[in-house]
Amino acid sequence: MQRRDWFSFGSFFYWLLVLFLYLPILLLLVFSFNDSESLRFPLQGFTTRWYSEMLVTSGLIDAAKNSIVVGLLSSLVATALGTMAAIAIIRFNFIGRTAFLAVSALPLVIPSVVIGVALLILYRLVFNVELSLWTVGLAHVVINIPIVMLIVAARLAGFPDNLEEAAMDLGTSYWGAQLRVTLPISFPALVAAFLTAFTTSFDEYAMSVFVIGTDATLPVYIFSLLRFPRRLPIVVALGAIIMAASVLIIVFAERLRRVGSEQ
Amino acid sequence: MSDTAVELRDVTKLFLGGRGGGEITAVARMKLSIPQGEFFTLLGPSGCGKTTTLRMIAGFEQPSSGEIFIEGQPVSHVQPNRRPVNTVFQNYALFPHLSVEDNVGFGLKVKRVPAGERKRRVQEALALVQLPNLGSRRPSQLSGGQQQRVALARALVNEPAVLLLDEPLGALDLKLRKAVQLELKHLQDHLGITFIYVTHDQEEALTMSNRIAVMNDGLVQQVGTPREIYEHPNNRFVADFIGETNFLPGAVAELGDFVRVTVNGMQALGTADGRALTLNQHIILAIRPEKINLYPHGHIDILQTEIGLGGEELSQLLGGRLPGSIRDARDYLQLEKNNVVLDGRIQEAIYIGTDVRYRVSLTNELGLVVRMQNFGSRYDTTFRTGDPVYVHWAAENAQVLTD
Repeated sequence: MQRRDWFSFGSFFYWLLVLFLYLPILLLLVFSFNDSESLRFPLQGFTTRWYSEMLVTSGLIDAAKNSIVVGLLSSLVATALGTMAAIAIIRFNFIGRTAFLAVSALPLVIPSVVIGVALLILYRLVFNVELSLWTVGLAHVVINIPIVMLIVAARLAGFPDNLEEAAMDLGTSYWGAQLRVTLPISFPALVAAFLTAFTTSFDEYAMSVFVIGTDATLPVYIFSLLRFPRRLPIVVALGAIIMAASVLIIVFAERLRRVGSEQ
Repeated sequence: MSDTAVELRDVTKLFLGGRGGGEITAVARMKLSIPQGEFFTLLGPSGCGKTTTLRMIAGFEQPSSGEIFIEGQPVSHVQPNRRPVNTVFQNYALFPHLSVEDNVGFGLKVKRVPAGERKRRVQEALALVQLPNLGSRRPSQLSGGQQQRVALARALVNEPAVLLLDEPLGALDLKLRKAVQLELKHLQDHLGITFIYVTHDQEEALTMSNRIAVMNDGLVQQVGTPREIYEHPNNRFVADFIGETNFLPGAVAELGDFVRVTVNGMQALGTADGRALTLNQHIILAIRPEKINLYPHGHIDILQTEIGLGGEELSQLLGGRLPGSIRDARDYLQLEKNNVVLDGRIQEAIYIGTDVRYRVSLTNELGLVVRMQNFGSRYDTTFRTGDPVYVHWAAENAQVLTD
């Protein structure tokens, strides 16, 4: 009897918390269909015109495309590099291993604004390179490598390290063992890492704004729109779409990560 | 094609590390020759180099110097996947993302064996380890014992020249371990494949092996059959590591067929097993608890002891007294040649079912552990704490070790 009492007491707070977290986002969803240029109550009526207007705002669509391309490419590179780093750390014992791990994880701890400024100085003053989507992409790789590395390393640590030896004992080469054993087992983690990196990249503003050239990524573009209050509802509509997509991606990534670690 | 399955010549393995950044000698100048078809065990405590040696044979470690031959071919720079050996790992190392069938068939698939033949051989291997119906399961769905059998099948299906086993029974409970030990022995006998087995459990080694190499600190201490190692240990380490042994430090008093030694003022006999000894050399006399007999003080009716029928009864049977059958125990014991008889006193008597274990103190603070088999109450000569006894052993059962 007591247990049930505690359960409803706890669940009350749980729902309070959920409300606190998601109410703003739900409001976003509501206002995206609101027939008014200003974001305030009372609601003025249902419309989908913000969505249709959004689709023809060329700057917006271009920025969205840029974000997707930068996200995909930088996530691929970060996943490849981060995975190799994870394998090195978990499966090999080399001099400076701890230092390597610490240095690789550093971008997680440093504020992205600081990284942005540092990269700006590096690009413009040291290498004298023009700012572009490439410079942004590179910056995204930098902050995503530690995320990938930690996710993949966690998976690698979860299965015994002599599976690769067992595979070689049975006739594969070292790379054959990676292909037939390590990769299939850690594949869910790789996908989860990739999706997490993509979401991070897609969402990234603070650093990107420093190193971006004339082509905008989506977050940068949206921020610039905020100067024009009449354009706000379009942004709200876009926000709703991005939020829905992010939720789907994260749920999918989490499912995959769980599948991987249950094996 | 040589008759020797595996040969190690002067193999040394050094590792970097240890305190002060120096080198650790894991294996030192190892020389081994293992004939085809033998069940050979590397036995020793943790860190003695036995697993390192196995890994060098498998190809996962390279010797720092020396040469390894498998079936007569030098393999020191041959990759593990090209050696005619397969390994059963201590933690089984089964592939979690594959079914049992695919696990066992892994090596065959890598070698591009056609699917039909592969399936047949996998079925045979699973039948051999008595797991015929579990092909479609995943390793995580099997018990420890079943996983171990799958690991064995996965190695054997490739028909290797040599099977390497790295403490494969460590994770099993005692009863299962003993059952599997016998199964492995019979399997090896039946298949005729050379097995090289690594363990720290000396009873396991004695049970299964044709020959054992006892190792410590990277060095081979002794190589021999279980009987040779147990009955004639070469040095103190082997005598101590295998079973239980009493050690009595002393010096050589007289050489001969048997060696007479003085131990704290007492005289004893032992065998040198071919070791060269000099007079007054410091030695250690090693004698196992079960080889020692205890006799009570007082007179013994010899006929009672030897035949089970006392002089009284026999003379009644035959009508007349048989003279001279009652002797002092010490005189009786020294009738036979090359016996050692010492005075002792029982310090402690512990009943452990199959035996009674005694701690006996000899005349000067030296003590011995003695095991007397429990033959049942009819033959019972249980001593109690404080009883004076004669301690007796045959000279050939005690080793004179120089260590």
